[in-house]
Order: sequence, then C-alpha cells, then structure tokens
Amino acid sequence: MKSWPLILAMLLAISRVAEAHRLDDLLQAAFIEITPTEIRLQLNLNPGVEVSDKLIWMIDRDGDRTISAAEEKIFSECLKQRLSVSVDNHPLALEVLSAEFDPPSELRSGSGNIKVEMRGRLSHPLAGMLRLRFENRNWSEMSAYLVNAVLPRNPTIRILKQVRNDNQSLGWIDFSVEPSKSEGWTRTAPLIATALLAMSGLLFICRKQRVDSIRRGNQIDGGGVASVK
Amino acid sequence: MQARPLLLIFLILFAHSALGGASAQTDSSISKIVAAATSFLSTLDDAQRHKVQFEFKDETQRKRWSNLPMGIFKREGLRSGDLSEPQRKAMWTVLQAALSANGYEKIARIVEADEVLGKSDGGGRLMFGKDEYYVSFLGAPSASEPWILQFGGHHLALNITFVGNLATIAPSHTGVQPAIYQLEGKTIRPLGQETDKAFALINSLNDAQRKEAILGVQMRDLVLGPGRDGQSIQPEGIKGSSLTEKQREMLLDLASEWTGIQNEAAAKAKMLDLQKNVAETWFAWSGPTEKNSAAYFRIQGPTVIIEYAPQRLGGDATKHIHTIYREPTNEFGAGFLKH
Repeated sequence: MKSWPLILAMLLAISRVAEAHRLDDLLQAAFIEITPTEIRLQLNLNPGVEVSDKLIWMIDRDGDRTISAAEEKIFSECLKQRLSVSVDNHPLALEVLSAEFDPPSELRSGSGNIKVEMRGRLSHPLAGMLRLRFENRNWSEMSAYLVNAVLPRNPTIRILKQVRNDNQSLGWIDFSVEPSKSEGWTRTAPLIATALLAMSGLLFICRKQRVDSIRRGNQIDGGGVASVK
Repeated sequence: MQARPLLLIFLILFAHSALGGASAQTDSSISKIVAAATSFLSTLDDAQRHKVQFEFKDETQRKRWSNLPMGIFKREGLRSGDLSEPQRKAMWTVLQAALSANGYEKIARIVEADEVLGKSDGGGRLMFGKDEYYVSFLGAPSASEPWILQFGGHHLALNITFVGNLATIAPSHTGVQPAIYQLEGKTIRPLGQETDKAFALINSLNDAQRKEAILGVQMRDLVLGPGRDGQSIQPEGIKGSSLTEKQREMLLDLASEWTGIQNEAAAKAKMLDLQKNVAETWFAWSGPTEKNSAAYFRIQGPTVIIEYAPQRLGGDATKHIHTIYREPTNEFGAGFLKH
C-alpha cells in the first residue's frame, strides 16, 4: 500500500514536470513520404506525463508493466484503424511495417517515444497533379498533432502545397508526378514503334503504286512508239 | 596531354579551397580548441577520463541529447556538479574556445536560467541547475582527426563536430525557461535576440508576403526536435527569392543567432554558405505577429533547418522556448567526412 508521503512526493514530482514539459497532451507527429509506388507514413507518439498512464494502459494489455512484441503489434494495428490516407479520393489500405516502443518507464516520464512505420501501396503508378489526404482520428481529446510531407527523394515528385486544419489532425498535400525519362520511354516506345511501322507501310504502298504506274506508263508509251514506228 | 594533370591538380586545389571557404576555421582556432580540450582532459583522473571519452562513431552517445532535464532524460559523460572547481573552470574554457563570445554568453545564460528555475522550483526529482550539465568527447580532440564535443542538460544540447579545421554545431538544441530573469540587477533574456529579430522580420513583410509566410495552423512543438535525426521535411512559407534584399539580410541575421554560436571562423564560413543559398531559403511563421507574443517560426534552406517553438507548459508560452539547429547534409559533420 502506498503511503501518503510517497503519494505526495509523486504529486509534487508531477507538478514539477508540469513546470517544465509536456504534461496533458499526447504529441502525434506524422511524416508522410510520397513515392511513385507507395505512400509511407511514420507516426511518432510522445505522451505527456499526465496522459502516459492512459496510453500505457491501452498498450500493456496484460498489465505486466512491460510491452511485448504482441502488444506492440495489437496497438499498432489499433492505431492504424483510426488513420486514413487517400490519393485523389482513392483510399489506401495501410500496412504496418515496423514499430519501436520505448520502455514504459520512459513513456511514463514524458521522454518516451513510440514510432510506427506504415505504408499504403498504390494500385497504379502516379502521374500528373494529385492530392493526398491524411487524417488522424486517434485520441483527439488529449492530442496535439503535427503533420508534414517528407522532402521527396524521387526527383519526379514535387510537393506543391500543404494545407492542414487548425490542430493538424487533418492535412492535404498537393503534389505532382512527372513521368521519369525511362518510364516515359517505356510508355511511348510502343506508340513510336507503331507509328514508324505505319509510316513504313504507307511509304511502301506509295512507292509500290508509283512503280506500278510508271510500269503502266512505260507499257503505254512503248505501245505508242511501236505504233508510230 | 600534359595539361591534364595540371588541370586536375588545379581542380583539386580549387575544390579544397572552396570547401574550406564554406566551413573552415583557421588552423590557430582549431589548435586553441584542441589545446583547451587537452588541458581539460589532463585535469581528470582515469575514472573520469573513462567516463568522458567515447568512440567517434558511438551512435548511442550521438543520440543521447535532449531538451529534457536529467530527471527525465539520462545523459552520459561527466556531470558538471561532480567536477572540482579547477576542472569545471577548465571545462568552461573548452566551451569558450569552441564558441564565439556571443555563443558562449548565450550558453552560459541558458544554464543560468536553469539555475534560476531550480531555485524557484526546488528542482527535486527533475534535477535542474548548473550542476546537471554533462560534457563528453566522441573521439580524441585533434586538429586533424574528427571528434565531437558534447555539452548539454536541460534546454541545451550542443553537439560540436570538428573535422580538421572544419566545424559544425548540427544538430544542437537551445531552449530556455524562464526566458526572462533578473541576475545581479540586470534583466537577462538568453534567447531575446532570436525573438526580437524574428518579430522584426515578420513585421517587415507586406500583406502578400505574410500570406505566403504564415502557415495558419497550431504548431505545438518542434517538428525536427531531439529524436528526429535524419528526418527531412518539405519547406514551407515564403521563399528567400520572394523577399526584398533588406528582408533577406534580416533573415540571415536571424539565422546568425544559431550559426553564430560556434566560434567566429566557423560561424563566418557557415554564414557564407547561407548567403549563397538565401534565395532558396524559406521562412515560415505560425501564431500572432504582435511583438512578444508566442509564435513559432522555421528557417529552412538546402543546408540549414532552424525551428523556434514556444511551449505552452509552465503557463506563459513566451517564457518557455525550445529551438533546434540542424544541417540536413552535415549532421555530426557527415558532409565534411564525405569529402
């Protein structure tokens, strides 16, 4: 049983944390990376001291004060359920790729971090002007949000504009994708080949018609000469 | 044919001088820093030396920096409070050699603010105050081989990497609480210049420029703060090319509050680099623009990211500030080492 001095000491410690650091909110920082074939999402959770127990209670399902790999997986999957990503109004199915959880003691102190990496595969390669929409509906009552587009590594992708709602639980990223040179060649090569074949065929037909008409002309002329002779 | 080797030598020399021009400090300043560091190390006993010294490539120690006080975030190295008075003096002499006069004063005032916070609060489990700052070395201090000087505690994380006569403070965190305090009858604002210059810049923008610069969303914290190493984000706000010449000067002057923490030669070299890229450098703002209100801002260019974020905890957000300085292409001197 906890003694009153211990409880008072704990309360005092919490009040001191309040003086210096995040206390009553859960910071959820999302980084969104756009690639030609998938959307990568990294979500970082930093719980404040007052809300950390609530978060740990949700993660540590068996209450043994440690976070098992199974608990990490269940929590990450739950987290995913209340996230949504769509590109040009086409929702993407998110897949959890990895999760890193700091120990409960660090999460409880206000210094801990939970990092979950996800991806949404695209059904077809992106091209043209597009809009990505991201929404995080996890624990809105106790969260502070940040959402940012990662600087694209692929030179064919350009971020044009980022728009967010006031608390950043919702964000839109306008971006463009230029077909790369190799992609462009892959796409246009059959067209060019078909056009070249058609032109060759046309030239062949024209030439054949010309040769035929010359031959016909020669035959007529020859007949004429013969008659003159 | 014989001209080719000569051309190659010329190009190598040119590249070397260009690189040196971008970030170098003089041989004498690096010698002075190494001498001060060696002198500090010579004051330590074996056990202390063992504690303070890490491998240059020690990834765990490189990541061991934070805005948080020791009671929450454990650091390694030598604790200032565990040093004797001559040792502590020698440690501050290393910082004095490694930093500019303004940078040294800023760091000392941040540490002093934590002492003020500790005295007003009692500290307790969180452990505030001058004694709770840690020093460590990654690699041996050298004028030719790479090494890192780390100094940090609550609201301060300096990671100064030296590679020969090149130096960078990326990544480093400065912060303060209380942001304003009295000391020996004087009003002290450790990050006052950053705050004042930022408000002067945002208020110099016309309506159209402000529309570009102001993000119009809540920014509750640093986006690329401690623990976000290696992350990069799309720049936002107003681009340097859309600023007037005077405003670009103001932007660089604001950035100099961070680049100018390191010693004068390294600071000058970094400023030349920022000047070169100023047209491609963005300035973003979030929050009110009235002077002395709580507002977030970010400076982001090809070779720099600076963020300034008031913290709402502790009551008045203007009294509790976090900032970060990063060089996306040169964290812990990675860019120097590539060459």
